[in-house]
Amino acid sequence: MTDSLQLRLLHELTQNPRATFHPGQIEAIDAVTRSGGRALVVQRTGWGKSAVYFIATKILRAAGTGPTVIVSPLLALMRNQIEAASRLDLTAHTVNSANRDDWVNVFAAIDADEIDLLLISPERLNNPQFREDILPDLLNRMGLLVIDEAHCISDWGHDFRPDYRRLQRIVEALPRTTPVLATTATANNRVVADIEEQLGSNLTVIRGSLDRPSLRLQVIDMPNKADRMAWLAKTIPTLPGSGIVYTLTIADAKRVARFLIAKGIDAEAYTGQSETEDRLDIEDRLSVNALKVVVATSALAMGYDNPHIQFVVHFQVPGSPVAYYQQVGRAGRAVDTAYGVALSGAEDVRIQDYFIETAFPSEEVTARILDALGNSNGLKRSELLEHVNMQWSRLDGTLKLLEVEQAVYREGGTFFRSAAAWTYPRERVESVNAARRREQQAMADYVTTDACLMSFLRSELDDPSQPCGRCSNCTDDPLDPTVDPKLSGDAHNFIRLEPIVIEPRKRPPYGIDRLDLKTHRLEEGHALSRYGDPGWGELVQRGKYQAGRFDDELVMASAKLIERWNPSPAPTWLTAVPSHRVEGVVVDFARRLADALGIEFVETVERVRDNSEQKMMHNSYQQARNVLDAFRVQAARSDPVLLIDDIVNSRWTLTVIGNLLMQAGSGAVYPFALADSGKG
Amino acid sequence: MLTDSSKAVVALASRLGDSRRPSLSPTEWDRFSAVLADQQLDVAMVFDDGFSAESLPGVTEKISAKINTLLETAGAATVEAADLGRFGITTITIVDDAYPGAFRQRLGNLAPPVIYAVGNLDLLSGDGVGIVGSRNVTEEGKTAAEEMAREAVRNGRSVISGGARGVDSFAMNAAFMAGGTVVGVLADSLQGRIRKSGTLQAIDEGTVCLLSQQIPSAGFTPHAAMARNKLVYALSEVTVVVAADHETGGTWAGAIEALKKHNGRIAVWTGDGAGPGNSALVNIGGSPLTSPDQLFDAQQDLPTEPSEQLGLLDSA
Repeated sequence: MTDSLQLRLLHELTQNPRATFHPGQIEAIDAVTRSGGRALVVQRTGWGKSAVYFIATKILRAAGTGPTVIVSPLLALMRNQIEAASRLDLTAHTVNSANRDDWVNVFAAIDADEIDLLLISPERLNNPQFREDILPDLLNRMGLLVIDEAHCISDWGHDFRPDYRRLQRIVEALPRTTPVLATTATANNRVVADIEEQLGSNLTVIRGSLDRPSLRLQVIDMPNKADRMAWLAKTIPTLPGSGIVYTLTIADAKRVARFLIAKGIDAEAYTGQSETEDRLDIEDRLSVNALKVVVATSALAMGYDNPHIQFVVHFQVPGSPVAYYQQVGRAGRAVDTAYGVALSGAEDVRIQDYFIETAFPSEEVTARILDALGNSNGLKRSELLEHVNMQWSRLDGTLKLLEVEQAVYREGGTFFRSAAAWTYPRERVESVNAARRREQQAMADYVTTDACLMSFLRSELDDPSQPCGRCSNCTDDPLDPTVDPKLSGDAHNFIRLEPIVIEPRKRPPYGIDRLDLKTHRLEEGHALSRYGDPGWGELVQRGKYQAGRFDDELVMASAKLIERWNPSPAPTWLTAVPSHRVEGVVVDFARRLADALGIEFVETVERVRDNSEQKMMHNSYQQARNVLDAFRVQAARSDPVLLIDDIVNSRWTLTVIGNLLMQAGSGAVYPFALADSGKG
Repeated sequence: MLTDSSKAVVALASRLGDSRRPSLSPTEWDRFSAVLADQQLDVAMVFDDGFSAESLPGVTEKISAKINTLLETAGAATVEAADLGRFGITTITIVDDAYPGAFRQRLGNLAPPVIYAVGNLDLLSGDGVGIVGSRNVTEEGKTAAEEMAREAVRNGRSVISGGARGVDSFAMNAAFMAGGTVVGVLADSLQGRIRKSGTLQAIDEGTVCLLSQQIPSAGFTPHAAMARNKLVYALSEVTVVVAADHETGGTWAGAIEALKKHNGRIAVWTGDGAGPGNSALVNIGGSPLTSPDQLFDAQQDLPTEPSEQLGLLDSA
């Protein structure tokens, strides 16, 4: 009899009177509609996890329980879910940073028991207002807790998120009466065991095949970046439908998207830096095939719920087979044939290494932060920057980790040392790092293996299988792996000519009041190269540290770039940042550049104090302090001016000197540097 | 991590989650847990599907109604108990191993079901000397408190005190200075105390444990101060009253109550700096102390049976 109720609800939900449950769905629904029931569902995306919690919610609500709370890191998912829920006549709401004005209404609706499903992000659980105003009531009344992307709860997951630690604590602390449903599409045995341990012994585990029969996997070893861009430009127009290109870095996502657009392909970049609005817009257009390809970082990874994706190409190979399978598994859900291509580049390992090495803050850094907090009555983030020489974003990450580790707590914007004894979890960090290295090796093996690619990935997910018969190792190459040399040349030039923008700094760091960046702000500027990149980047390096003189080729290339750039109103004179160690090397370059541009060089900036090299400073406060008293400007002409430096780092040197020039009466200041260190 | 049983205690007998919760008082808790013990039931059963307090013989209607209401707000309470971990505060319930046995033994049905602690929890099971007295104390009284603390440290005891100003803090600081350890039993604001300068350092060094039976965000109330005094006496092998006012003030009231309830051994300072109420306390059963070095000698002579005066007071 209960079956028929569940089935009726399924029909309503799918709007299909002949729909039947997948194996496992009924068991999962039964498990979590009992008091204290706990279930873990490991099934591929599209299996119907949401049907489980929608139907369970319907049953629980009819029995008089409070709302279901779904914790999910996905923006896109939330919108899809609210729509789908309405088909079962369930009222769903979300509370997120974008609808703060709406919170009061949502809280009131929860209070009046008018909400069936509440979707929140894990970050919400750490938000003070949410925590104080709404969470206690929710914890008391919640009828079912759903943890989406539950692999994030595990240290061993490829995508552990600190906010999930708090979620784990809540689950651990709740009375055992509240049912909990954890779902994921990507968990190997180790992660499943970890989740089992955290959710308790009476856990029902429902685990299905992760096969994606439509997906044809392929690996192409293509060390050169320009070649890979060329391959994309040639191949994507030949592919049916829409797809995703994944890159490992934000810079590459933007670069590849720009190149594809330049080649007439309907492409967009999607990264963690994109505005929420733009992200939603891109997701929408991708959903209705109004966009050929999205070039994305892992920001568009989990649960992006579009069954029509027909290809997923990796521009660089990620460092974990589980992460890779999760991304490539976006393709081919509701189509007969889909492509999953991994382009293996020369830089892959270096980028993977960076992610592994920066995943945890060092013991030394955590000790310095804890010391600074322990010796104070609480410090704001910006005050902490005075004590620790590290980048703002790194500090943020470290504080977040220390917070979930309960070594530090926050009240308002102020951080305090907690009274808990805390030691750096060296062993845990080491074993997680070792696991990451094994995953990295597994991905290296994936690129070179002769075995079936699908079986390889599934065995990494502890989902053993026969050869798929579809991948490039089982049969012919699904897609032509060759590159058009002409396109490759285009891509090479594209990379070379790509403008590297120096964005003006808009605000002085906290605590440095005498830098007025409202009235005396730099214009947008350009750099010629990325420091150390093949070509000019290398020439800059050699000029600065070996030859003691910048090559004429750099002068010519810079003059060309500035002419193409053509800033307006046009600069009529040019000045330089006095060199630090190598006497006159920048001034010498600036003189030659002025000649090439046919404008006057005026030596007006003077170094009055020998400060430390800027690259040794890791945050704004220290960088700005380091240059603030180091320079003086004699006099300035009232026309617009080009300000020349060799390597731009934090932009504080240029910002401070630009400020001095404008105070001395100059016109607009356009910064130009030979190379961008990529650390600003 | 909280066990199911400790979560049940938190749900029923703490004001976590909402400071207005009508939590079971220590005596109500004691009666309820006696019923469970009779039936050999674990308190975690309150979370069982279909649990009803009414069906347990010996649970009054009033208590079972209270329990049902409390269970409706269990989630917020247990999660806050775990969340206190972010300040470094541990929630300890009467069913936990870490709960000081002295509270159960000496306070009986007045033992607090839930306490909150930070720092070195081992100090709760070690030997300690209670040192109590007025907030306003003479220079001689201060010296006496300090000497008493040093004597305790010399004998390998922790100094147990209330963490208020006056005698409490003079004794605690003297113990720290002498390289000793301290248990501070607070009447309020455990959360705020963690931030006071020096507290974190002492916690890091393992030389202090702070505990309170009030929720860590609670402010001061006279009632909480009296409850705190009880804990100081209960935790101490001997408690020294350095200076009490006569028939007024918290020290006096606390000492009278402890004498009346036979809550541990009580010594009363009668040397320089003794308070105006001290001699009266000796008269009703406190053991006089004229020199700090008698602290551990004197212990042998302390009465183990209630004195006659105490009987008089009882009937008064």
